[in-house]
Amino acid sequence: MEGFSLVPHTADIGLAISGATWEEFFLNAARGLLEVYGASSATGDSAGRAAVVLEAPTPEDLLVDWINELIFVVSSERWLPTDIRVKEAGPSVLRAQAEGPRLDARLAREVKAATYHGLRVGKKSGLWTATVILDI
Amino acid sequence: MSHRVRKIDAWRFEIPKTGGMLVPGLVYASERMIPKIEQERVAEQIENSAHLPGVVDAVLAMPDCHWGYGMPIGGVAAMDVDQGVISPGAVGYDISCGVRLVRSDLKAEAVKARVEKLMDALDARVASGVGKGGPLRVGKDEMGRVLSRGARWAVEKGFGDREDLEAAEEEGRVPGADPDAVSRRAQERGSDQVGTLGSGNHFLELQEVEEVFDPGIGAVFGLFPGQLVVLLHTGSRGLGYQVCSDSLSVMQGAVGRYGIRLPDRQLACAPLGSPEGRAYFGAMAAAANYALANRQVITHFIRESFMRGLDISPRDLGMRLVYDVSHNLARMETHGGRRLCVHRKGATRAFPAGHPDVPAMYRGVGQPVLVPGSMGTFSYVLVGTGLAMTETFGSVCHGAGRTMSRSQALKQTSGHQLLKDLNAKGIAVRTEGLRGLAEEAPAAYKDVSEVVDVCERAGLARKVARMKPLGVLKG
Repeated sequence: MEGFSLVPHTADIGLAISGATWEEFFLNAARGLLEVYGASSATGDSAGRAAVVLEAPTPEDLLVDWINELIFVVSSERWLPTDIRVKEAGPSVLRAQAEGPRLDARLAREVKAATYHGLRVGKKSGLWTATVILDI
Repeated sequence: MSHRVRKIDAWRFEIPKTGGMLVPGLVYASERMIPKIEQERVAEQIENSAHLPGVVDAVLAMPDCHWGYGMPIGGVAAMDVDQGVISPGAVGYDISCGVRLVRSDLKAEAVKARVEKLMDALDARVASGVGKGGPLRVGKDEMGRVLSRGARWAVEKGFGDREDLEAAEEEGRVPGADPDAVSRRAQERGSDQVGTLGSGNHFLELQEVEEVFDPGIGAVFGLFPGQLVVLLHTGSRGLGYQVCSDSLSVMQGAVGRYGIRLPDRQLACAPLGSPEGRAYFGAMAAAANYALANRQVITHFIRESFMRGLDISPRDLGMRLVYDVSHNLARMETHGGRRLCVHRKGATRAFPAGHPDVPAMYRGVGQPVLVPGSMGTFSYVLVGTGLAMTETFGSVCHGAGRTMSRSQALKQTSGHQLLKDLNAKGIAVRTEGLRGLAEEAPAAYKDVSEVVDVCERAGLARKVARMKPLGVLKG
């Protein structure tokens, strides 16, 4: 089980995410984002690190905040969050440590942000699932 | 045609007011375009947008409309200033994404042999590509001036001429900007991107004016057949994206506080007069000024590249700004005696002759409306009409509009093949990645000529000139 897949959208890209636990769900969201960037296999010495602590009223807000946090790291601090350790995760709280190599290769595309459009986090066949539209 | 869409005439289709919609929807399209518009859920997004409090008359969609998020791309919604809301999702992430046309005194024919050299010079001077930074670093204090002064900041810093501002809306500065409403993160994200093109559908094209449909208006805009011009499409870069993200997060809470009910959270909004609404307006206007500064700095780089690439003096070059349009923006405007906040998301303002907001040099004919085609196809200059003022809050289309997803485009076109095809058409291409090139393949877009024809036949705009590309710089 991959835990994420890319879904076609006319102008943007949909990212379908699933996970048996909240930890796995948020980890797969991060892995999916790297796939959209075309940077899944990026390696290198650690060049950036961030301790992310998020609280949000709903899992949908938490997911958008989490992805936007990682987008900021890539686009502004210019490193790739390839190594993620989720320390605590639930429907309204997320604590994680992100680390990864400097962004020096070309990315496949720019991701502007995660959107709330049609976003719903739900449980399907025992997995937490959601499809988030990323603005490209 | 489903029950959702009712034909009014050959170019107008109504989406009747149902459920919680406060106004109907009105789509400008040909009958041929309607099935795709319905299939793509544009109708649903128009219906959702019609729930925004204070929306007046109708939510509009231009012929280049397509599925976005929140309001569809190609959408226009106007809210009453006293009763209405402002919605970041009805503006989009790339705040003041826009188009700038720069003219020259040169004939395209005279430089055809040197197009490759010119493209190399442009490629070397204008940074392009995903998240790329440019040669400028804008510190915190300087950023405040960029955000409040827009293109005026750039000209004051030596990036361009005073004349460039005379041909720009509001002399290159969007009023109402509040730099303090722009988060530290947003400012950081934009600190090295002034003067950069970016990626995705952003581009810079060297073009030849192929046909001037209205020589009188063409002359006022400084355009003539066979002329070499440059068309630039970019926006507020990472700074604008971050402003939208930050504001949407704030608006999610505001919706509950003001008792607003919406079918799509991406449309989250706040009353125009509320602290949240005012903060977003100030930050959005500041991001728009960043976009105007960005396009002005690139204009300066274009001039430098031409002088270097062609070894020519500024006088012989005769390069000046024709116009600069923002097609993702909410603006305070007066329509039919009402003060409205007009949200345009992938739609271009098109004020006609006589409108006080049209720069003096164009007031006799109306503002130039710049409509870029998809890569390697035609682009158009239009002029707005009085009918557009009464029907569409003075708005028309913004481009070709996507019709195919990126993955579909990648399946159907290879970057190598597309590069070959463009070269075979005599178009010089400079790009950072062939994958990005394929995602933006012309086949992934509607036919811009058809989009423009619908606008003209519906009476919203008139064609002034058509340009064809000679060179493309794409991020």
